[in-house]
Amino acid sequence: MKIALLGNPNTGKSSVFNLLTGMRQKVGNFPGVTVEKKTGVFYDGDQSIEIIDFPGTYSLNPRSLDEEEVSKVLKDKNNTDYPDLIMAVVDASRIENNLFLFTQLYDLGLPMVLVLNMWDLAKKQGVQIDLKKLQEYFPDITIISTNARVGIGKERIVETISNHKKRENTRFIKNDEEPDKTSPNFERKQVEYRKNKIQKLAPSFVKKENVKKTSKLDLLFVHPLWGYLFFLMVLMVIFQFIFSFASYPMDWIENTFLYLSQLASDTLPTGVINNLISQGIIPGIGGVFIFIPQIALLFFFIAILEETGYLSRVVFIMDRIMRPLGLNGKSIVPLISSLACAIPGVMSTRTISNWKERLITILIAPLMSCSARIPVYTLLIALVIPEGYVMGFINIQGLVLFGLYLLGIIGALLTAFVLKLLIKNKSKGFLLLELPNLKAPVWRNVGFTVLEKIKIFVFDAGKIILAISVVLWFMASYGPGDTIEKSSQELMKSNRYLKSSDDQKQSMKSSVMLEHSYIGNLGKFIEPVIEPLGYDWKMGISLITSFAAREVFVGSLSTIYAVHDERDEKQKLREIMKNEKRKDGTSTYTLASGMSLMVFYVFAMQCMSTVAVVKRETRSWKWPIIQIAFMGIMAYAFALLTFLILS
Amino acid sequence: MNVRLSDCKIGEEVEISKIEDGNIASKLIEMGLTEKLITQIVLIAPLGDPIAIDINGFILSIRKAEANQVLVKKINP
Repeated sequence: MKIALLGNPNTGKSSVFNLLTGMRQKVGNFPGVTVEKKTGVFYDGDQSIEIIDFPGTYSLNPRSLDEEEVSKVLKDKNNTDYPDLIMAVVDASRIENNLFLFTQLYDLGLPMVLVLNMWDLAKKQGVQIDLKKLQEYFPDITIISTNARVGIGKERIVETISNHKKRENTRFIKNDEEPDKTSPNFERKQVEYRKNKIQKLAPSFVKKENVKKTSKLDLLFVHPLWGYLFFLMVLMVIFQFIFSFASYPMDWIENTFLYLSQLASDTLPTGVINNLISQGIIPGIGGVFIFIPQIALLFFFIAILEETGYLSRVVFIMDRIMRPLGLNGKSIVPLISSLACAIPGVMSTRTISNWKERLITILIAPLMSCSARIPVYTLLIALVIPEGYVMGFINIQGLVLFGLYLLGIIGALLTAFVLKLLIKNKSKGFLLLELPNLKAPVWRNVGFTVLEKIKIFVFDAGKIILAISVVLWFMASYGPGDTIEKSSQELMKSNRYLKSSDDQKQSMKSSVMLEHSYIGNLGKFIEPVIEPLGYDWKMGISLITSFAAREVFVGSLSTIYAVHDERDEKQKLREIMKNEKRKDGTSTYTLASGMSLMVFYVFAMQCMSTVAVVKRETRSWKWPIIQIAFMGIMAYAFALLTFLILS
Repeated sequence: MNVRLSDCKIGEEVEISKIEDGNIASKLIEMGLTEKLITQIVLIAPLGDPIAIDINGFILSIRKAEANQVLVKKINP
């Protein structure tokens, strides 16, 4: 049997879903669209029942991509997801409002179970529902009350499903009641008719005593001063966790994969397979896993903010500020997340229902400087920016770092504004946002959200990241013809090499191999293009390998300059880079070329993981390619400008 | 006398008299903003937009542009 779980947002629908299915759930997409489809299985005796959790919706007349999918599935008997039974979840404390969708579902004529959820909350708020009376209006379905938040009602729900009533062809709105289809404004008349009928009936089964409107906390959350300050504080706490605490599991993951690579390289017979596994596949998988701590922490916090209802208050106070830029109040979370990492940032844009606003948010998110740019910034700042203070107390190096972040943020917002003018959109943006009651989070739901996001990342984006890692490995290990072979033999005959220690020999060899690999050739090939920016082919190689992940920049330079001192690699690398000279004898890393390189990193899309996630979220290669292009153009243009101004 | 919901003050009780035809009129009705509903603005965002209104205990936030399509009558205390 197949059950469709449907209901308004904020009715505790996901609590009901988690209650029924527990860990037996998986997330995918409805065929052909980005709308998320959660399916789960639960058992009634030996019979397994499949349940699909549809996105929350207020009506079957769609206004967002999510809602469109819901009505499409329910109106097409041949759809693979067409259910045998509808389970409608209604928030008992707001039953009158929820009945609009419920009666629409009722009129589909499918067998149905009505779950009146949050029964305790309704009682507490002084809402009394006469179940007998309600049953009279909808005689051929079963109605039950639950408190899914606290885990009450599972047995009753399962029992009700197996004993569900047969429909007797009753409808809430009968066909002859419908307004004339040919009349102008038919949709509005139809909606009005249904709503009026509900409102006329409602007083006969719902009694309300002074319902509470907003809580005192709301006055703080939307206060012109305290509201923003509180939000800032929340962000600072989240960032503290993502930046400092995520680094422990990340170090652990990194070391584990280094160990595994070493193990594979030592135990497997030497050859191509060994190299592929130890240098391509294992580091590739490591490159996927390394992001899990940040993704988990970020979504842990976002889920809490969402569960408590605070997130909708943030949207409420940010909407007016974001609107002139073609964004939505809901864009604020993805953009801020992207300061840690653009991957969870892009993934969290799903809450934005307007496609254009969501797309713009996705496209500008990677312009926010993420944590992977920090190692690049710090190495280059230490290299080309003198230590010292402006006005006696502002650290110059710190100021430059701050400036780079600011440059990214301003770049992102201006790009949003330009994209707003360029991207065509059928529907006008609007905001219809429910401010749900503030309540304590259900930890179960938080846990499921975190698991779900990790799964999506590992299985969907992970595949692409792994594939690109293997390609990069191949290009860095092999070269055209036998050039690598020849040049390393030449190196081994040279005096310089013979005089070196074993460690030095090893790193000189890697350096020569990288120089003559496909990537090395590519670096030289693009040298004429990047020369105007003040870069040489060695930097070109690092730029290309940075596509695996930006922090790889540092590692690539270490390999090229044959730095072998493991204990103080960064210190050593900085010295070598400082002494690096061009053919004409001037320094390679000057203020101009260094700053130009940093500006390049601010704007360039050098992250295959983000490309993979954007492809997944926009369901086409079109947008990631456009994104790579405009970010690349911005990077090149601003880096060139920086170099010309400073040199 | 009819005024627009967007021009009302916070906490002022009003009765909705008409929702003008527009791109989201039927959406507003679905959400419960029906004619004859007694409502009030309960929250206003810092920059005066969006606003949040009370629909029998269901708090809905809409932009001023949407509230501008809603005509209301003030209820005198």
